[in-house]
Amino acid sequence: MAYDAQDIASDEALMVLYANGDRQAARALAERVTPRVLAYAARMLGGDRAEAEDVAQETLLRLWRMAPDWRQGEAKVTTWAYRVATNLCIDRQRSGRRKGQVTLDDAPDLADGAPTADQRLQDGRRVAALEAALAELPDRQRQAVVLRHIEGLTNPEIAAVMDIGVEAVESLTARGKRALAAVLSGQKDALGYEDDGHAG
Amino acid sequence: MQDKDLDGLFALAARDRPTPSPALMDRVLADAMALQPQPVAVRAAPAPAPGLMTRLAALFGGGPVLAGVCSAMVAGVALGYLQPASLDLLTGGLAGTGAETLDLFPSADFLTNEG
Repeated sequence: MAYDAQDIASDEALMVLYANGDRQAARALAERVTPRVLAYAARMLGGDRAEAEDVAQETLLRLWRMAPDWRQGEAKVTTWAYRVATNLCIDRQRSGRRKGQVTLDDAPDLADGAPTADQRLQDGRRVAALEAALAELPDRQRQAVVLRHIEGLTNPEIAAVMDIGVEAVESLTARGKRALAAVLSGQKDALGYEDDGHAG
Repeated sequence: MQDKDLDGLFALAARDRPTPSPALMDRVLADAMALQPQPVAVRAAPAPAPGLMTRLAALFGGGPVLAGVCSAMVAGVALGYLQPASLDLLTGGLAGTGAETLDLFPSADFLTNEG
């Protein structure tokens, strides 16, 4: 199959092609899934890039192994990958192997009210502050918020990833957003947000 | 911190996705190649082993030749078992008749008679 055709093929179709020995399908699938899993794992592991890369490689390894048994229509490849990555991240968090976790203290120092000359620098600071705030959330809230608001999954997809009900997902994301707003409210001036007089 | 501010932060974070390093992609693809099932080659089904009749026909030079030999054999056996009288059916009763005189010019007497 030509590479152009693989660009428009679904992840699930690429899985079948890979299982049938198509090498280009393997490359196309890796280029689609790896960045998403890596970004998700990095946020779950508090920005530990090395651990996130290990999680991404292990997730893809399990994907290749189960490709011959993949059944189209039963699940999305990305949902399956997020679920595997979630479990791997939880294992690493429990085993205490995580190093270099990002905390609010690691966010760039921001002078109160200091003007930001460069919008990119401002955006970088905002993202760093968000990452640090996410690291402050309980694991389940962080998973739900990242999957919903950054990775763009639907609530039913998140429910499948986290093996919980849709209502529980809604509750986790709502509580997670409130907690994030509370954590970040102390920095809103430094991050360039106007004081609205209330949090949330 | 308003909801729209938080949504803006989420959008920034979504765009700020880390790029996998070439080394990571190399490791991922190496795993993929190592674990990829080999493509199944389409092969013709093996020809069945030749049977007794096929080998016998080949010995005589092919099926049509064997058919001819069999026909001749059946005809020979049939002729061997039939009574000789029944051969009249084939010869029209001509077999065994004498041919002692032969008149080559039965209507040429007029040439020998004197006027």
